[in-house]
Amino acid sequence: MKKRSMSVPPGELVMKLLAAAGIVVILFIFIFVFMKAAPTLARSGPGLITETGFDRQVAEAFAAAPDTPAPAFGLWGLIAGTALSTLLALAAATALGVGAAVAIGEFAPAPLASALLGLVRLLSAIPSVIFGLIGVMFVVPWVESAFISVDMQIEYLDFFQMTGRNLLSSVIVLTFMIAPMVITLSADAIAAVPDSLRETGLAFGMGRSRVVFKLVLPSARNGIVAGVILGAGRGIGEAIAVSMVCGGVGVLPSLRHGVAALFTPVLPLSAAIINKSEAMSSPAVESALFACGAVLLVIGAALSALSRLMRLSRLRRSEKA
Amino acid sequence: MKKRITAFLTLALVAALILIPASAALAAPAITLEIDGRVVASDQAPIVKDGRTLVPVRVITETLGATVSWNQTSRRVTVETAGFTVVFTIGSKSYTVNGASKTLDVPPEISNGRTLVPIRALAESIGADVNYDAAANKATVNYFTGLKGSVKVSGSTTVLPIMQAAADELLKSNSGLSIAVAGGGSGAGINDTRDGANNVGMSSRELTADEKSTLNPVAVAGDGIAIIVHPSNPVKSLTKEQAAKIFLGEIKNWRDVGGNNAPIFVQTRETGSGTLSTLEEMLLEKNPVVGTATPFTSSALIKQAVAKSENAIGFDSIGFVDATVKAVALDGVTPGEQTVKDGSYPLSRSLYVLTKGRADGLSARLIDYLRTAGVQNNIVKKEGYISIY
Repeated sequence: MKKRSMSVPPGELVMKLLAAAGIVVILFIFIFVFMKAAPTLARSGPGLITETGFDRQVAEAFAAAPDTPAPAFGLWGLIAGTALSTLLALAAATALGVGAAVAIGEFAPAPLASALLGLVRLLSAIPSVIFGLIGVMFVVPWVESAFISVDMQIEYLDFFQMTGRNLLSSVIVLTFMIAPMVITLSADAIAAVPDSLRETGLAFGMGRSRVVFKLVLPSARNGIVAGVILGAGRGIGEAIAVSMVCGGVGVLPSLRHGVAALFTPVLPLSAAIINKSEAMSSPAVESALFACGAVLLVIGAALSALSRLMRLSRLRRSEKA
Repeated sequence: MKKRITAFLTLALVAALILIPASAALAAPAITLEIDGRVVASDQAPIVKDGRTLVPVRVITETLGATVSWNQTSRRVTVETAGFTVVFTIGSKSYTVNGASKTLDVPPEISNGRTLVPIRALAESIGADVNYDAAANKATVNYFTGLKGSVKVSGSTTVLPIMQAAADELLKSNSGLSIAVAGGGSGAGINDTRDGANNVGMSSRELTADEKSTLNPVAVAGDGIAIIVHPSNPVKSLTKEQAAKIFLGEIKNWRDVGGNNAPIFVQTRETGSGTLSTLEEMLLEKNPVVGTATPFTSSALIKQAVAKSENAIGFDSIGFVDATVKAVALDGVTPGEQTVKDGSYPLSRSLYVLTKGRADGLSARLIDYLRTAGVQNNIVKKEGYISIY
């Protein structure tokens, strides 16, 4: 009798062990990636995130004789590619996703709403390589024929090849990959808003859309933000689909080119790891690719910390209120 | 008169009746020759003379990856493998193995235009295992089976697919064998071989005179790099200089080489591609391809990109070129098996494996295997390269 009360339920022990194993694995990943990236981090210094020219540096490092020191690498073009494609896709996916979630949760009749939600959940289960294929087959040719003329191509050839493989195509493909996450989490959050709140609003004489924008969405904010942050994670980490449509050259999109900057080929960090892996037999290139991974890990960790901070500050505010 | 003819015909018929079974009886103990578990077929069957089996030399060498040369004036047959040079003289009982004289029981001979050599002497000279089963009239040679030990291979990523596929095939029939194949590029492979860091190096470029003083290269395949454009592109031919300027980014409009007023979109391979480094070496004088070029990670992807874009230009090993793209002529020469073999196509090259000094042991066996008809036909050609035969 006494013994039983002392012992931890076996299920709980297993869970604790699994959690501990998870922490060890994550620690190991961080240590391993940073160890591999160390030579590049040491050699490149802060230039790693402020300098450009990754493609050329990889080619030089690969062609270098075995005993020459590895060149410094600059990931700024890649970081910009990741940031731009993810942020633009996030903006589009948030507008699209929240709108869709509101339409599903507030305006669609119940059977239609559940059918639509099921469809969206299915969409988020599609493997990314399928998005990449659809991107190559439909988005890339469409972007090229809809926005790009031969004259523009000739004009910009000194800077980059203006084809359908560019920043805009990456953004479009990423938007469709992120949107299902935003829709699902937002719709769940909207559904969790108590009906009494809506009824109160209506009783005060607010219109249907005012209720949605002034009452429902603010109280569903937590879930929506969670969806957006999850989406950001997917956008930053997505490699296969993006590498198929991004153009594969780490060009830094320049505001000087105006709207044409959208048609710049880019090479986001995760796509770079895939594309340049052919040159990994060179230790310098291998280390540089791990440096890309290290930057991705830091961004991912920062995002996750940010979402925690936001939740904590909101909790504190609600405690005060 | 008529009677005489009849008598003659009868005689001829009788003679034929007697002689045909006689000759058939002579050929009756047909010898089967089995190399590495496979029966070797030939238009000239092996023969037995004074208890020794003689086989057509060319059939053997094709299966063992050796080369044969024939000198008409000295009537000498030279059989060369990666590790051994065996010289026979027709009608003579003495022969040499790597320069050392030896003696045969039965001299080599020429029969029906085929050179026949004693199988046991030849096979044992090059280190093969020979058995003769008198009851079954079967000669068995083991050359690429029962191998034991390990070989380290590294170097050119262009040669790598051939080496990898051949090694996989060889490992299937040799459980005691281990072959480690790594890339690293031709330069690394040559250095490794020189420093003893590998047993066999791979190179997609010619060795320098200095390198040749210690290293021994053996050609295992031929390759040509085709410059490819969209099938609708009116440009059919480029000079070598025009092609170089396009890939360096100095010519940017198809109009400048006789095409439409359209931008030239250079498609290239990702860093690490052997085809890319060969192009840079043979066409661009070691300068890099223009920085705006779109890079692809495989031969298949660059071809697909060129096939889909009207203004694109790319390059690929000629084995990959099909009807979806158009290979342009360089300096008036169209790339093809023939123009690559005779060297008239400017972007043709040989692919080599190399050893420090003359190959021996397992290294030699591996190199011989790469040169067998089987590997040349089933792997080299399938991987898009050109057979050495």
